[in-house]
Order: sequence, then C-alpha cells, then structure tokens
Amino acid sequence: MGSVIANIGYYLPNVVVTNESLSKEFGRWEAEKIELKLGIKERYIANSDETAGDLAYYAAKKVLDNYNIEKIDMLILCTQSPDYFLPTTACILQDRLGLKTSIGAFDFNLGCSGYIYGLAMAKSFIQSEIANNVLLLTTETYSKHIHPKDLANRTIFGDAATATIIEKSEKEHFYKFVLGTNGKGKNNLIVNNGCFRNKYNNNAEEMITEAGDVYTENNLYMNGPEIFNFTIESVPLLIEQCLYKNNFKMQDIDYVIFHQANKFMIEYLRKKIQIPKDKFYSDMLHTGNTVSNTIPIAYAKAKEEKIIKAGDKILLCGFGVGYSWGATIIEV
Amino acid sequence: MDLELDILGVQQLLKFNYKKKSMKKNEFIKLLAEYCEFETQDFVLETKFNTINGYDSLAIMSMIAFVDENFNLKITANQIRELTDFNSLIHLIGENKFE
Repeated sequence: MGSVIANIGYYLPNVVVTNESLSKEFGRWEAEKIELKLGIKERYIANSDETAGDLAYYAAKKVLDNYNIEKIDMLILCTQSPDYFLPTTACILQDRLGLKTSIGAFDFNLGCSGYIYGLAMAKSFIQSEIANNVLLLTTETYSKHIHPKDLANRTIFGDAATATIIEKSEKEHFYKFVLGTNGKGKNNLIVNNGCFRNKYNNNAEEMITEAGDVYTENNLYMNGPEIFNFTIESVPLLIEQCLYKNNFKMQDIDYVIFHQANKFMIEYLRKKIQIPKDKFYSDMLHTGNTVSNTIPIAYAKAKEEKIIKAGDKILLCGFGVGYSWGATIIEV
Repeated sequence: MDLELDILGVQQLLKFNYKKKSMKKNEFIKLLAEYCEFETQDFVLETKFNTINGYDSLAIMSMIAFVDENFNLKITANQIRELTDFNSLIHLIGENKFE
C-alpha cells in the first residue's frame, strides 16, 4: 500500500503588480534588472477584502470540480496568514467546500518548507490508515504582512494558493522524507507584532533598512543576507541527506524542484550542489516567491508543460522561515 | 545546521568545490564588480561601497555568493554592515588568501 499525488491545481489572485509599476513607484530598481536578477516579472496579490482562506477555496475548487468530494477524508492547510486566530481556516473550508463532516481538518503554520511537511503528513495519514484521500492546501497572502514602502519584499513575494489531492494507491509513490529545523534563525524572517508576544501596535515606529526599505514591527521583516547564508549552509546538506536516505544518486533523479525563492539564489544553490541545469526547475516569472505555494505551482506547471511525466523521480526541496527545511523524492 | 546531521560529511565534501588558487587583489575587485553587476568598473582598493551605483541588497546577495564560491567563507549580515571599501572586504576574507 502506498500513496500518490492524484491532482494538483493552483490559484493566483487578480491584482497584478508588475516590475514596471514597482520601478515607477520607487525609482530604485529598473524593471529589467529585477527580472534578470530575481527572475520575476510580475506577481499577483490579494485584494484587501480577499483572504488566504478565499484563495485556498478557489484553488481547492480547481481540483475538486471533477472529483467525488465524498472521498476526501482529511483536509490539511498550510498558511502563515490565516483568516482568524481561531477558528482554523481548514475548518471553515470544510464547510465552504461542502466536504463531509466526518473528516479531520487542521492548519499548520510553516512557510517555504510547508509543502514538504504537508506531503509528509498526507503520506503518514494514509500509511497509518487514518485517511485515504487527503486534500492538502497551501495558501499565503504575505502581501498583507509587507509594508507598502518595502520595495525588496514587495518585489520578491507574491500571493497564491494551491490544492493537492493525495490518494491511497497500491504502489508507493513517495520515498522517504528528510525534515529539519533551527529556531535560532527566528529573527531573520519574522512578523514581530500581532500575536501575544508582541501585540499589534497602531503606533509602531517606521524603520528604514540600509537599503532604504521601510517596515514596522507589525510587518514582515527579512534579513536577506542571513537567509541566503542559511540556504547556502543547509540546502546542499539537505539534498545529500535526502539522496542518501533513499539510496539514490543525483543521476537517478529525473528532475529537481526547489522552493522558488528567487532566481539568483536557487541558481547559485544549483551550481553549488552540481545539479544539471536541464534537470532543474526555475520559473517564478509570473508569480514571484509565493512561499509554501512555489513547489506545488512548479510541479503543476512542469506536469502541464510535460517537462515531467509518469514514472519520473522528482526531488522536492523546501527551505526558509523558522528556520525550517524538508525534502523528499516522489515518483510521478 | 547541526554537524551531527552531517551523515555523509557533506560539509567537508563540499569544500573541494571551491577554487583553491589564490587571487590577485585587482583581479578580485574586477571579478567581484562584474559578478555584482556594478554599473561602472573603475574601482580601486579604497573605493567606498556606498559610493558605487548598484551597491544594493541584490548586489550584496551576489557578494555573499562570490565569497562563498571563491573562498568557501560565510560573511554575515553584521559583517557586511561594517564593510567600507574593497580593502575591508579583503581584510575580512583574509589577506593571506591574496597574492
């Protein structure tokens, strides 16, 4: 007995933010420079009245419209921008999507590593016969965390949601997982205020980074150099561990999908790990870094474009906020 | 990352990737400026980073990559904040790495 990804879909919200519009608004980075360096031309963000729950709903509809929804018996949702402190976004979506009430539903709070953890849980639920058909949603509206005058983060991040159905199957399509955590990196990618350690502060002081980006403690803060250092240190190790644990070499892998952080960063990691260019996915041109959504979006696109086909072994790898990281290998 | 997780000694293995030959200082400046895509190229050891067109967070990402690739050395955000000119970066990397 095993499990398999039966279907993946994704949804991008309607508001488009182009490099040209950012370049015009800030006058700092030329549109072309952003595209060349970061590999991003445009990103989509949610309306002010549109939430991560809404985005997840639309993504889920895409995979459920041709699916017997009675079959779904577990709903897992990954977000760091939930609709409410409580109740759980997944509970609201159980009702909104018309899923039966005899299912488990819960959120988990992870960023760029989230999809790998979601797959690990889906596989575990199926293996332990807790569920047969898991709906895994990732959804993020980081745009709501970002200060309007923060060019760097507004350039990098886009909003999106994805939906994946993982089904019980005769053959196991998931290989072993490697997961990792280092909370020492917590301050390097953080929204400081808004929960109970530090409550949301209406009078929060505006701060300016050396680069000229503005943020307050209510907003997303990212220490770019430290995050890059973290990936340089941890991702090569993570890939080696994942291959070792599964008794594979890189040449056994047909295709590699990393979290699409930004083009420069993942291209540097690719070179460092010596992954052949033709085996490596790099496309965030029309979406930007959509946090936990980048891997399933990349997977869906690669399948759509027939870059990957049935039987291929795909290495998936996520890393970021926490710090948190994870990797696995799946057979399409 | 914890070394105890380093089941293959990968961190050791990865070290053979970096280019071991030492570098001339003026060659270093030229290569770094190209890598970071600074808009002009006429730099000297004393050129201040904050006077360079294009020394921004994107260039800093490149600088980190360049130093990692060529010297197998991590430079932290705090160290970058204290850099003044090319000389200060060479000092940080270690004078003995240069001819």
